[in-house]
Amino acid sequence: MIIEVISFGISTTLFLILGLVMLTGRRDNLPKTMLAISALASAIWSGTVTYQAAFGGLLSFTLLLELLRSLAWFTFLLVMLRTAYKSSDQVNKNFKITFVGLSVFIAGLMLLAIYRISGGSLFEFVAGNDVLVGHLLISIGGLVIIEQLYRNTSDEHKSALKYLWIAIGAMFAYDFYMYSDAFLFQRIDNELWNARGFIHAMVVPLIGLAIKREMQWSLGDESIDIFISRRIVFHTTTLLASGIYLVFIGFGGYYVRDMGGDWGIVAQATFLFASVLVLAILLFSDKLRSRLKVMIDKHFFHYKYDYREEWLRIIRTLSSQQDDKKLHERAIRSLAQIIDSPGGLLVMERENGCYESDERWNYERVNVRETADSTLTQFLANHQFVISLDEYNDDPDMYTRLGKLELPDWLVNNKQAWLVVPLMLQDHLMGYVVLLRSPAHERYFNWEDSDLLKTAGRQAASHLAQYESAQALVSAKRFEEVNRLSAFIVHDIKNMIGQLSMVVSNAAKHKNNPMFIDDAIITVENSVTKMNKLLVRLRGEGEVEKNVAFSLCELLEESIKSCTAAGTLPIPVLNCRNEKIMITADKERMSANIAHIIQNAQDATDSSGGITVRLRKTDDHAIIEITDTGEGMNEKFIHDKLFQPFESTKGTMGIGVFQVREYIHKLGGQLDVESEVGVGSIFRLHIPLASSINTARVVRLSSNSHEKLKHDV
Amino acid sequence: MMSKPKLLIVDDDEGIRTQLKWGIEGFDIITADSRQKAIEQFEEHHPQLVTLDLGLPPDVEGTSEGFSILSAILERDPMTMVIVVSASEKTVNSIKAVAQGAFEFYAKPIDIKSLQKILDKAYSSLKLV
Repeated sequence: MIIEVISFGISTTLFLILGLVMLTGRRDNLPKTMLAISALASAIWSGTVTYQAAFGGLLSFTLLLELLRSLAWFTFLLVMLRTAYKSSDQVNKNFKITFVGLSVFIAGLMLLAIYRISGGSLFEFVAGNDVLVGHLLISIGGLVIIEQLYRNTSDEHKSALKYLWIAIGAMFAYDFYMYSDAFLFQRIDNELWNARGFIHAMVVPLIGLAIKREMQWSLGDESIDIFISRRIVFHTTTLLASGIYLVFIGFGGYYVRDMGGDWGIVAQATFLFASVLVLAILLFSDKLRSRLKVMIDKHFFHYKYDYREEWLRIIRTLSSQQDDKKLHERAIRSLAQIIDSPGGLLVMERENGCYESDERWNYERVNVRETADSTLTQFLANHQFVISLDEYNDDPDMYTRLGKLELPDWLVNNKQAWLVVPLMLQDHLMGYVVLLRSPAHERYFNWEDSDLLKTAGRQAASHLAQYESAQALVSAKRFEEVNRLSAFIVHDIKNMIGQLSMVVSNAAKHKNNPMFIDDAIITVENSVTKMNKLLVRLRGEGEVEKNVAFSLCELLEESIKSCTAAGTLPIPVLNCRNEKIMITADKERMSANIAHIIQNAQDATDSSGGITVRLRKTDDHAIIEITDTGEGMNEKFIHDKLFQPFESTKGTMGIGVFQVREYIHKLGGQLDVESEVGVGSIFRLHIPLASSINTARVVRLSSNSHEKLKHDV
Repeated sequence: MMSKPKLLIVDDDEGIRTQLKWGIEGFDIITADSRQKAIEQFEEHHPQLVTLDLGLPPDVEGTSEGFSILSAILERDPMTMVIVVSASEKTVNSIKAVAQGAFEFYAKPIDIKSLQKILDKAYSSLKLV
């Protein structure tokens, strides 16, 4: 008894102080007032319990006050939840309904408590535990709302408000524990009851801390950004419904056991197992989940969708890399997910201008071919409307007053077809998606669904367009490769024909000359070599590169010599600081690349100008700098043209700076260009130095093993 | 006896060089397989006629080497009759070659009789000048 007095006495004092402190401050908003009322209600209840423990009596009064205290805390939590919805009339209405419902529930519970205390035993439900069940439900309800509030409080306010949620949550959690225990053992445990005062007293400092941290007394103010996540509401609702279901099943189980006689335990176990099985089936039912989502969206939120969540899901579905499904199927699914549609058909525009079936997902096989001037195509292209087949059937004028629209047979005949979503790329109709019926959504289809589907359709269209562009680019590159290969083949075949026809025509005159015979054999052998090379290239096996380590200074000397052999001016000046700089590369190809840069410099520089070729090295790279005092290039030219393949200022299609850079990159180096119009240019080639391991080796870079085989043999 | 006119054959294909040497008549033939070699041979022998392949190493698939040689030769002796020989079917190359001073553009594959005729015609033109 003394413990109970001390325990609830401390609780009374602390809640009283809290309530009075809050009443003395500015009560400029409802949540703050409700918090003060809840604290005072707790203080009065605790005080009554203390009095009852000390002097006896007041039992029924205590029970009633406890329910009133619960009502006060519940109301406070509901008011806090309402801050997220305050702009909506519907939400205010819902709040009022919830509040009235809760009050009626508590009032009923109070009446029931009075009735039980006064000895009433009519309508006895589960061995007289109905009041305890009421308390249990209050605790569960309180915990659910606390969870919502905690999860959805913005980070900005979380540091302060989390103490408030923890404090109130702890009260409800302890009550839940105590009343569960009471429900199980048919009586309230004395020790647990006595500790309840201490427990409640302990949470008061936490509430005080929360209020102190929130210095602006902005509890419940508009500045608190409480965002209600639909996903969490959905999961919490599911959890709550499951919990309530299990509680009732528990009661049912007890009832079955009591009534079952010898079969009691067996019947209870069978009943409970069957019930859990039903719950599992319900939880895994897509239809039920879908309907629950719609119900939550419809009754708890201003808008039907959590747009952030939807958008992230659409993008995730469209750009999923892990999913091995084709983009076209993912495009259908990204739209279908929005309204829980079980399938769909993608119709895309073809090169001939017709719209034809492209991909389907859980949709019956159908051959669609709509011309660009069909009314369906025209309607979608001109009005960019999502067509609901139900709306069209109910009220065709709704659509036809905008423009002519006759739905094709393949669409009308499919009774499961529900919506037609246009895929617009800018103002062009790229295609459309036909979605199948969603039982949960079809009754509530409205402008919100239509707008979201339309916008998602645009997003899907741009992904599809990007995909098609990439495919077109790949095809173009293949064509280009084939063209280059054809040119090469034609070139070599012409040479071979020339050689062999000359052998034939020369043989008429010189067939008796042994020297001619020797030369003819060499010529034929040459042709055979060319044919073999051609075959290698036709197989797509690439060219053989002979990578060897060599002195870069010597190579530069040779390149300069070749560039000046024709008397071309200006003659480049070579400056090799270190003659032993070695790199590993295909010497011939490297020479051609350097010669190309030098020739470019010569072309750009007046004969009276100067070109310098410098060679130096860093720790791991050789650096070749080719500097000229030529006309220079502007930034735009360097950016847009210089490194473009097949670009040339000389009107030829020869080796370009693009290819030089590609080769340097292949060696693991890089090519930098600095230039100023009227001043000149510097081409700087950074090439990795040859390591001691890979010097003087001959490797084959391509996958071709033809040449290697010859060496091995 | 009058010495034969000199003809420089510039082609990177050994078979073509060899067979032209056997097939072309009436000329003293010198050969080269690269830009450097071509210029050296030209400066040493001063040929009156040149057959010039445009696609030479390192730019075998392009025309840059061939056009560089054409410029270098005509710079040294504008009267040289250069017959550009190429497997390229691009009209732009033939126009460019003639515009730069080539006597003729000959598209491969080489038919020895027709090339002989062109060379004879070129030499006749040279004699007229």
